[in-house]
Amino acid sequence: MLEIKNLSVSIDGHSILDNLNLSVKPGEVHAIMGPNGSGKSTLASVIAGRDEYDVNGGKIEYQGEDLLDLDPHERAHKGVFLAFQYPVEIPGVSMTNFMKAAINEKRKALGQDPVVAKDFLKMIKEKMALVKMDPKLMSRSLNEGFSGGEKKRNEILQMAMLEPKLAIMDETDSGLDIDALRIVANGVNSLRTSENAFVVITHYQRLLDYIVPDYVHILYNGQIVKSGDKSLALELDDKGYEWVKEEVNA
Amino acid sequence: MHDDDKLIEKATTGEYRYGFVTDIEQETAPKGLSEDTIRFISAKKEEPEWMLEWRLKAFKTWQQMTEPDWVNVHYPKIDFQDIIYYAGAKKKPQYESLDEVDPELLRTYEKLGIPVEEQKMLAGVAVDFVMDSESVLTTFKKQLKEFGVIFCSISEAIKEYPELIQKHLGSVVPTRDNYYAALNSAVFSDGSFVYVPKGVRCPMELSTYFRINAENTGQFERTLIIAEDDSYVSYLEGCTAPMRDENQLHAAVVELVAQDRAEIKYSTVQNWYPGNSEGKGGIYNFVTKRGLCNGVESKISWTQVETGSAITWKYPSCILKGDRSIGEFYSVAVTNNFQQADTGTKMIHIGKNTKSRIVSKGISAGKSQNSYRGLVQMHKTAKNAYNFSQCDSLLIGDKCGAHTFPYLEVKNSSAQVEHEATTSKIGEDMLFYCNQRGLSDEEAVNLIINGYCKEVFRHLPMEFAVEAQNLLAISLEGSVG
Amino acid sequence: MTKDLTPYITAFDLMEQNMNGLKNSSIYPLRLKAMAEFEKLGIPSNRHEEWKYIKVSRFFKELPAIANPTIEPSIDLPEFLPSLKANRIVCIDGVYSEKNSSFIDEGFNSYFRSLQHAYNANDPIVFNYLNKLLKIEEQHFAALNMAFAQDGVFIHLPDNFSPDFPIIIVNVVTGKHLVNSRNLVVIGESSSAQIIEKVISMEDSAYHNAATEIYLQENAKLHHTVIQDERKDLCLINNTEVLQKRDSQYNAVTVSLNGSLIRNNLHVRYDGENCDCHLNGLYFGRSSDLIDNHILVDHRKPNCTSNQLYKGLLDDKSEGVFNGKIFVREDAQKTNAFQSNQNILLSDNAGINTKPQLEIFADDVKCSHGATSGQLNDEALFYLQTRGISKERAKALVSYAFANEIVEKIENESVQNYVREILLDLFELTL
Repeated sequence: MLEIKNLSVSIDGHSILDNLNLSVKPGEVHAIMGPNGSGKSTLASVIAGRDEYDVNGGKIEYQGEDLLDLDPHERAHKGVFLAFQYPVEIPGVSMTNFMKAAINEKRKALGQDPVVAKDFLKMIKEKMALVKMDPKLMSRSLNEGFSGGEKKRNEILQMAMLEPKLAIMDETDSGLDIDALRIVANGVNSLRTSENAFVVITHYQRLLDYIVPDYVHILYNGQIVKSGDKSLALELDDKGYEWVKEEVNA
Repeated sequence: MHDDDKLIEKATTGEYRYGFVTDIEQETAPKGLSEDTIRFISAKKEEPEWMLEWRLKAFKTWQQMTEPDWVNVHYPKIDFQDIIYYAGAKKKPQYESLDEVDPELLRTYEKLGIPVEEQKMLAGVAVDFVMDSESVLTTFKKQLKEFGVIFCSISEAIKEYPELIQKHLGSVVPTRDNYYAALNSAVFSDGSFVYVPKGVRCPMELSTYFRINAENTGQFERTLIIAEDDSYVSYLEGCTAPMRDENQLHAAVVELVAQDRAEIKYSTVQNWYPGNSEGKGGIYNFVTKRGLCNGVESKISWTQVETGSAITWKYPSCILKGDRSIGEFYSVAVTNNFQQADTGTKMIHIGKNTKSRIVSKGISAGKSQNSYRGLVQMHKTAKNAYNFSQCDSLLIGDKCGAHTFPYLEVKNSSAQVEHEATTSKIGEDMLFYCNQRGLSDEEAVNLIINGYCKEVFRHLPMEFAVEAQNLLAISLEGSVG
Repeated sequence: MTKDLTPYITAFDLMEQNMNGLKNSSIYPLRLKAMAEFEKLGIPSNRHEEWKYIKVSRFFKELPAIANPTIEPSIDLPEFLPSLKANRIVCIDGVYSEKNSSFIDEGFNSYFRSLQHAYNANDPIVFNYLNKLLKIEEQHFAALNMAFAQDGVFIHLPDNFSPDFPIIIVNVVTGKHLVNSRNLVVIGESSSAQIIEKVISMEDSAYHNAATEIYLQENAKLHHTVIQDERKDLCLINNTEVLQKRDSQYNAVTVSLNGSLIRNNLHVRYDGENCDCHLNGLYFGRSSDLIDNHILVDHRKPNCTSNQLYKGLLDDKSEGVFNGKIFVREDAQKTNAFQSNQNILLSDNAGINTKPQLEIFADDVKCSHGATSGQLNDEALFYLQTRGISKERAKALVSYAFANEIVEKIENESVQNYVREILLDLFELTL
């Protein structure tokens, strides 16, 4: 589904990702871990199409298509979803209107008719229950005045509404207490199918107790330096990143 | 992807949709302004002698005044002798029913999207249609009369209700108030008159559509709304004009009087022709609008969406004289291409415990200049008065300007005044977030701008709010995505 | 309304006759031009937009005599911040007084001279900077100052040089006349300094019209504190113009605690990227004081920031004026500019006129301003009262806390304490 080959990325001349390779198949959950500044969020942003990064080499293939050729909204139409580390506040734009616009744009791109209002409301209510979000937030401005936990749950809600094929979660666990973490993880788990894939970017092993990954990768200095199964995350939790750094630098 | 140059290049493609001309036989006054012009207008309108005297006095006042130059707008000097001050249809000016209306006019309504066919209307909006210098049609007059509400052209009111006109005309905006108010007082041609008697809640929205049609003509309408004790009225105003290369002058005066516990809600969607993408043509919109909250607990609320005109100079104001009276001003002003807008409000707090609220959203694109100018005055008598102002500016492209000139004058220690203003552009992170959810740049910007203006739109009556949103999208078409 | 300026024209002619030697100086044509401009401009009436709220003409009904310091009067100079180790420059009636000045920094005379000394020497450096920032064609009092100021302070710090001690400039006004004093400050590349200014009046009423031009070269830094605290019938007019080069920083605190009429014009212009300035002001009006601060920050280059915070307390029949403008030019992308003006009216006869303005011609900017007027925070007053503090004292405490936010912005701790003591005294508080 996603094939990243020799990807090199820089910003303002500073190299961030250096010959990175990653392969994700449908139904898989990949966890990407790494110390601060290793390039985790850059990877997420480049997949989603943020244009402040310069791709200097390599390619990203998604469902056999060159992803780098597409505008961010086109990637979204094709099922790429990014759960933001810092979701943006948009004053005056209600959750309902925003979600409706997003769903209808996707449907338009797929040659489908706009969603029927009744169906939409039913769907959003269901999905809100899934992430235990207060229905009152629906009519509030997008993310405005939301608590940290509400913002993150809102990201999962949007993910549930848009039913992506490839979901990238950029440190969704940061700033969440244990209850919120469980809610978010349950949301994700209930969306897992054999058709879609998840890339979970995180700092801590904690989240992976709830969202169990098939693969764990360690990103360091812009490269994946170690891959393994979920036991790698436990080992990392035990030994810390210093262990990886020493091994790499040795 | 968000290439600013590309955006600006596209900014010039937004098209004005009301630029047609109605082919109708008209009678005009000779070009130029003199006592004779005023006598001509007054005679055309079969006005009583006192009205002519009032006009002539205003004309003398105007002659002694000089054109203001302190506003943050620039335009070539207006030759007041090169303007036609009256243009009316040759045929019967005021129709009694739709059947009598010239089919060409009916087509005009249709094109403008004005609901004149009463039976087809669901919402129940009464319309006064003013083309150039004459009111041509007022709907629902009879039905309104049953409630005691008077809704007619001001020309008719001068003849039918002289005592009301003599009492109130010029009481809120005195003739010598400013240069354009004086000019209007001398030559005003038509406009609407509304009178809501004591205790009556006007059963439907009242609205006037102003249309400049004739060439080289100035439009000088005059509107007067009186709300007696415990009454309520919501009034809407819409304006359009044909596309022409010459600038045309529009200098209106609007006066509102709210007595004890009365409420007047005045909404405007101003879409005069803004000139073309090179800045040629367009309307000079120099307007004086003022409301007097004369009674206790009275309320006047101005809501405006300004997208048109080459130059706008307009400060709908409230004089909060009655204790506990409330003044509100909600404004969205959009400028694109070479448009210039200098608009805002004045809140004059005189009575005790008076309150006012100002929400102004300016959007500048292209090579336009958009200024907010506002005055909040707390007089010594205004004990415990309160004002809150929020003035935001949004810039689209780097060739435009946004300016904020608030004046706060406080002479009372118990009065509380808060003013906030911000200037920003649409953030890249906001756009990217929307993009990631599948919205293209254009859709994202539309959504964000409508969100930005939401606080103003929600004060518009439903039908107008939808119209305003569409208008905003058209005005900024191409400039943003 | 143009006022009869004859007394000043006569005074100017008289001064010219007495300055035989100076006629050959490059300053002379500048003075003539300034006088000609002043004759055109006169004393501003409040029909002038920039003088709308302050009836300065009221103080110039009869033109005050222009100080004519031929011989240095012997005065008993009151102490100012005696405990502060500093370089002290004293000017009496606008003329540098060597006798009263004292310096700690050894190399002081390498960067300080009196302006008259520089004029007499026809020093080309002084003419590179003098009168380049002030606009005598537009600014009434700058023109008057340029015409009459005979001397003043010229500080020119070389590159990479920072004096060890602050510089205090004291301007003494000896009589009930008008003194035109002048400062020219050039801070060299990567140099930094601290300047503290104060006016002392020997009589119970006086006029002081100061013109200050400040140049900050690349990466230079200046902390500038102006103290206006004499409880006398003073008319203080201050024109300060600042030009900043790349990476420079200007921090100003203007404290106006006393004075019948105070008008401070503070204009900062950026002539390079990455400039920053913090302009802070505190004003406390009593009796019928008029205190007017006109601020302009002109963002002409990209990537600069600016901050304005002015706070006012107005009691009795005093009136405050705040006019702050942020100007962001077309090229000044990535500007961050903020401005806040907060006022508290302590009396029903006091008033505030505030006009915070934004003029923005660039799109990628973050600018905001806010202005408020109100009373002391009721919640805070009530809270203090529940803790057993009387209402009067609670008011004083809350007022003091309100003012103290600005005092804390003063770089020098001794100066901070000096201002705090005055405030405590004004609020009849002991802490």
